[in-house]
Amino acid sequence: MTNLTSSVSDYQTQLLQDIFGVENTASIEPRALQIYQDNVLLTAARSLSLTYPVLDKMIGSDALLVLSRRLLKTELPDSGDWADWGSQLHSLLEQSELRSEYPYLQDIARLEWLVSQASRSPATPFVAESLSQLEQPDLSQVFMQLSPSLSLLESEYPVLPMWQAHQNLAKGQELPGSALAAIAEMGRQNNYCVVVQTPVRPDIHSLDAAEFQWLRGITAGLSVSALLDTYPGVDFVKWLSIAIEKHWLLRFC
Amino acid sequence: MFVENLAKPPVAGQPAVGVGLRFEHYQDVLQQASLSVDFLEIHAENFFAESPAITEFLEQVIAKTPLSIHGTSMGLGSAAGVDGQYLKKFANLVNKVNPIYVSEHACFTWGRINNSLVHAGDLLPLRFDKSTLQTLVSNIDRVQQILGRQILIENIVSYHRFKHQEYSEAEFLTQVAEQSGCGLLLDLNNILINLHNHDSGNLAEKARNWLDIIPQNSVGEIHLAGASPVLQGNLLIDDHSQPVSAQCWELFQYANYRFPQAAVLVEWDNDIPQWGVLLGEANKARRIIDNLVEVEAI
Repeated sequence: MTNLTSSVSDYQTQLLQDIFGVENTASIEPRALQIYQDNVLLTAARSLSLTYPVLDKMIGSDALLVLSRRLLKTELPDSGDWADWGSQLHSLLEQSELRSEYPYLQDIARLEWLVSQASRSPATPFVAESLSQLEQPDLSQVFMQLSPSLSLLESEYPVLPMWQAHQNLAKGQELPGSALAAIAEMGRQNNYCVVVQTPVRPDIHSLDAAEFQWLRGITAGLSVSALLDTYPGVDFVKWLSIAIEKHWLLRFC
Repeated sequence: MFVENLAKPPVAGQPAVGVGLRFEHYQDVLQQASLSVDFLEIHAENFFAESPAITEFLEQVIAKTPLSIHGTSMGLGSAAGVDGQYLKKFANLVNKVNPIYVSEHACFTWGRINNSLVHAGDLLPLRFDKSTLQTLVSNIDRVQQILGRQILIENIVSYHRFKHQEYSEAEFLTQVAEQSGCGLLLDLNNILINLHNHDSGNLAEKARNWLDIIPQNSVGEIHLAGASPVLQGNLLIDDHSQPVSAQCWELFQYANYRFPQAAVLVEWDNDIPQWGVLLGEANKARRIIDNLVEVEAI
């Protein structure tokens, strides 16, 4: 940095530190600083409400504002696009007082972040020519590459039915007791889902344990041969058809 | 330095009149066979994502009307520079949309806290001194080279009043335009808010004096907006949540006289009205341009 710009840099760094509460350097007058701090907080809360619309419905705007304030202490925006901010909300929920009564909220947040990320990704069509790789005699040398937008989620709670049940609710509207009871009946068993971008919109699909482990095996870099040996219960031909149709699979390689 | 003539209006001899396109009006725009405005302005960052839905939407809108791209995060006055990843996304969008105007703000947004890159998430005020001028001009030059075109730089609201400035805001922006080859986007509401918050006396006259400092050939676009009223003694906030104010219309009449070729855009970003109401504001601007009504009658 040149001497010419150092004073510019000092002022700008001090104002950023003041706004985010990292330090109090009194770079500008207090009432002006308050406006900038309020602006950032309200923008952050609005951003979270867009990225986490179901969570917003479940906990309400006031709680989301409190979480926004806390999150700004640990995750500073750094890309110039608020849609990139908020990835650590699930961690914040894990440590918050909401956890004891609503332990599933952190997984709802994880799901919504994955949906948000998928929704911002390009759709990647399956490379049909790569099917010829399966003609190789040695399938231990054949691997699968999943869509870059694909993510997997495992939870102790039925987060996908919960998330889906809230899709058409208005803000402030609560789920009917019958719907809550039906979801509760699903119990605290392991729940799995896959999130991926499609040519239309992101798709969220429920998986059973075998399908989930199979997909996880692919992401871990197992060959087709190793996958078939490790998960003999999976019908590969049937799975392949679904994986192509649902845009999970990018190519064989 | 990037030198290019200011963007030409879509209708020869007449300034273009447009409105800001926000999410609440997407369906209105798609459903209308033709639009009564000359262009729509999008906020760049809302279209950074490469999803099929965004690409399809942009294609449909571009088929109906020209777009301008207004950045809200570039922070051209940042001593830390403009983040390369951000610029890459911005340039990709410009290449995709081929907008009639590209604009940003005279502010800073980027910095470092504990050696980590931070974005302010807001338009933060610059000091109007030689060092800041050099920083801003250097960053604008870099962006114009990357984009291969001239950009317009907008005056912002500052909630802080700096006690000792080497330039007035209008002098500073004039220097920026002369040294970088950029054009200027004059936000009349921002001028009025700054005067309301930090000055006294005849604000309308001071606003006209502000405009008089700006060279006529440097202005490519004018923004019109309104702000929520506040109790006496409180600072006005640039919230873009109201119709264009009477003072802003009055100043626009003068600005249109001073900068008759500048495109005009109505901004409304919060408490967003019906699409027809927003178009009505654009129609008012058009009527003033056409000298069909006196400002007092609006």
